[in-house]
Amino acid sequence: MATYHDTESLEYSSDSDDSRFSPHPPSQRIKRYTRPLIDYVRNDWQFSNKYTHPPDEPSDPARCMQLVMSIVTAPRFRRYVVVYLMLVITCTVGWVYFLSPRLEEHAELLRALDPEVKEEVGGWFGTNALPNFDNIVQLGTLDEGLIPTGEKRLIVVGDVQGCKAELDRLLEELLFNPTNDHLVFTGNMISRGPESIDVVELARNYSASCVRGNDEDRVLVLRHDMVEAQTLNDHSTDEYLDGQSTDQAKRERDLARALTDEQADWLDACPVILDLGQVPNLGQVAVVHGGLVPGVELEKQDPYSVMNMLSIDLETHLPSSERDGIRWTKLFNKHQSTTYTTYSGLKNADLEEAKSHTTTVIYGHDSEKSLDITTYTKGIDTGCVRGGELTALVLSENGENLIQVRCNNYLE
Amino acid sequence: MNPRGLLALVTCAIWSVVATAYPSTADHSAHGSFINRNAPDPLWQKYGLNRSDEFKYFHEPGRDDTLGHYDSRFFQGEPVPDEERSITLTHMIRAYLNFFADNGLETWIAHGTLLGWWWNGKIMPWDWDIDTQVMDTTLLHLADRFNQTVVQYTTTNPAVERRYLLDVNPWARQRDRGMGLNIIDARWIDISTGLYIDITGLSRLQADKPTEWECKNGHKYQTEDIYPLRTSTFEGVTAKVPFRYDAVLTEEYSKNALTATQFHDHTWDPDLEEWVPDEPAAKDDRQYE
Repeated sequence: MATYHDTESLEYSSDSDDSRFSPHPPSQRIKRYTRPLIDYVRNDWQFSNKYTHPPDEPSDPARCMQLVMSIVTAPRFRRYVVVYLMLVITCTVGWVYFLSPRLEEHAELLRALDPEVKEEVGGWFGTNALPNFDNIVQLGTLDEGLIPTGEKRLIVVGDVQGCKAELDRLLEELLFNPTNDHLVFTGNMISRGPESIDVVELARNYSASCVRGNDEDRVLVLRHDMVEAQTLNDHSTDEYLDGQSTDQAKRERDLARALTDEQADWLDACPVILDLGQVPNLGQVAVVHGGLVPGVELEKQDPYSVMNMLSIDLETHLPSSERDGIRWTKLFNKHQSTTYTTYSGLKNADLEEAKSHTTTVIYGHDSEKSLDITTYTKGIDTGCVRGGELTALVLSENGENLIQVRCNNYLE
Repeated sequence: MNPRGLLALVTCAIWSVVATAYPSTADHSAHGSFINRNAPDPLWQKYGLNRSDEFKYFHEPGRDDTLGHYDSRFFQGEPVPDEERSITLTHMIRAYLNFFADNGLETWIAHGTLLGWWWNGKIMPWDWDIDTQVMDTTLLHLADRFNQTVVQYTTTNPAVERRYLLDVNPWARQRDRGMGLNIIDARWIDISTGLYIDITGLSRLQADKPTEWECKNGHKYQTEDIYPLRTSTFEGVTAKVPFRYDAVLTEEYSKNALTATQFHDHTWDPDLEEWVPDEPAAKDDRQYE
């Protein structure tokens, strides 16, 4: 029985188109072939299609194509092709647009901070003796008692620009409590918006801290010049001056006149840089309006640049109030992270101590970039006056968090 | 003298200072207006200056870096030694700034002098002249009221006594470049040596650009670059500088002017806050300090 089964399986495994063997069940055939099997052998098989030698044509390109096509059209292969192609494209795009520029930038930043390069380019910005200006305070320090511990909070508010209603709502949102909370303004509290004078009054009433923004700078310098030229109350030269000024300059003159002497003095006392000192978890913190040049002491930072910078030249570290170079925050962050790595990499390094060697900057001014929080730079001008948000960065014992309120657009 | 009389005199004196210091609106409208090219030429009508026959007003004994910085009329035949030159320039700018402030005349420091101010509030040791700027309103006011003034200058040191001549170029009334022979609108000249301060005026020459100011040498500024003027200190006296001083300097001298620490054989010493000459002799001096 077992042999029958084997034969049967052999029969079925052969090609079914072999016409010389009829597909009869083997049991019948075996009954028919009673003589020895050898007697039945014929040479016909040699002429069968199946056993003739194949023609010498498989190298034919058409055949190759067929082969390739058959591979390509195989569903599994097509699936793999799609997958691999996607992978290659993703890698290329990722390299060209993300990884490579990042690595390049990283290398450029490191090179920009390399002291050897400083010799090569002939010096970096910030070595001059600082020019002194009448009525401009370069550096202020925060009262140590105001550092956030326990219930106490430091509330750093971005560019208000005279948006008093929004400032009021922000304080409500913050559950502002004058006994525990101290307000710090990043400059440009005044100008452009509707209620500059009221914002100054609010800040004075809460004994807030502040820094000098580029808008305060213009209005205050103008006001001093007007006092000197006795044109604060005398409008007779206005018409002539209007002919050479922009509309913004005219509004600034109106604002200079609207400020009382006390308010102007209060604003004049706002330093260009406010040093908050050592803040828990952050190391040293400085508040400025525009930005800081890395590696230059606070006392020696050029005041105009501090109030106006947006970008920085990698070669000379010359800051610019235009957007043409790399953003100053990138170089600053790289400089601080390098400092941190240096100190935290020491033997028996205390991370808290390493952090104390770094400086974090909280700044406003760049409403186009809007909110920009990185490790060592915190940009919180979110363009309130033109319908953005008013932002507060709250520093408390537990860390930092952001509170924002929506603003009306006052520039339309 | 009776006290009332004294009071009257003082009031009168103050009034006259104020009157000189702040020209009336009428002055402004006469000087600050744009040039109307079709109107009869006031240069010719009023001052007898023929535009097509422009002559050079200020002359120098030579054109090189040394002789080019003396006024021919007061040049003593030999350039003054370096040390005296430096002292002369320092006194000269102090006298100039004080005179302008005392008379309520608006002026600010410019060009290489502004760069010197930026580095350490002083004249750069290799700088041969001093540059200041005024608006055309002030320039014409100088021409009308202060031209040919000789100013006596004394300090607490009785040995220092100098006289300066404020000389306004007659071609200062021609506000366009003209033939380019009179780029400098006025000079403040040290009478004893012939060294001088170049005063150039800024004007608005194009009616369609009411905020653009230019001097005769092609430097252009926006009103916002200059105004409001900042009050600072130069060579120990109060001086005004343009509002956007960084931008003005980098525009004129490129970014390296504010960063490079080697110029004209001098090296910036950040601790001394001085430009130190590169000669070995000078280095010896530093060691003894």
